[in-house]
Amino acid sequence: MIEISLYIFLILYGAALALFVIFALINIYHLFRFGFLSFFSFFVTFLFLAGVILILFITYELGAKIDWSQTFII
Amino acid sequence: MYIERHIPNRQKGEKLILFLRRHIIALIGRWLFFACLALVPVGFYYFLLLNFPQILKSAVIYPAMILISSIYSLCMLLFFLNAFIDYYLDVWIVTDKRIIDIEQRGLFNREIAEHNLDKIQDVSGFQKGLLQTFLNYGDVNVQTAGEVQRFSFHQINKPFEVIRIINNLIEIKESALEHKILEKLQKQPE
Repeated sequence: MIEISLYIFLILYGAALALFVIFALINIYHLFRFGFLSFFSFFVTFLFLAGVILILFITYELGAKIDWSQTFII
Repeated sequence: MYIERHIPNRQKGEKLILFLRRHIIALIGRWLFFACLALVPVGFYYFLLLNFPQILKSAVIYPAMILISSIYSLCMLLFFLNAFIDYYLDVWIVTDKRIIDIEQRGLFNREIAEHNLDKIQDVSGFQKGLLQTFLNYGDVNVQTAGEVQRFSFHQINKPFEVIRIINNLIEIKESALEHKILEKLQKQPE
């Protein structure tokens, strides 16, 4: 039996978030490096960033109510 | 004007005739697919709420669900952006001298091929299905005598109009060449 803190979820989430950021930056780099800059490409990038901020905000709002120091046993 | 500056290895006096991308419906179709996938966590949440509400009260499963849903939604957003980049960076340029085929395949694979108009042997196109017929988009296939023997413009707007323009350009180029040869022959002393 192992006792694990809920923090482990946050660490895994952080790792997944780091991967997401890397891929998002590569995508945005592609758009600006090879793309033909236009209102449309700026608008889509804006929509993407707005979506990311919204999701992270909702995650924070929901996550703030949870006691992450709790432990569980496997 | 901005597009004209993006013609790779632009030759002197080369004129831009067509700048083509896939029809916007191709992008919208992929976006709708990802939008449906993005709604899966919401549906799953309501499914649990109605059928297994005790799971949502679990001190372990609920936090895990929040984080998994968050990452899942972020991934859907990433696919949304990726679909746009795939659409936006796939470009076909027709100038009065050549056809340039620029294709972005995935994140780290970008291909640029160019074909001189005088190497083009045949241009054909087709519209398949209800959507392509009503929205007037389809594929154009270009057969060349070059290294890459056949390449396609995928899901472009007004494919038959594009075929007509390319055929006209080829005709103009051929007649100019014939004119040049005739002039040379006339200049040669008998």
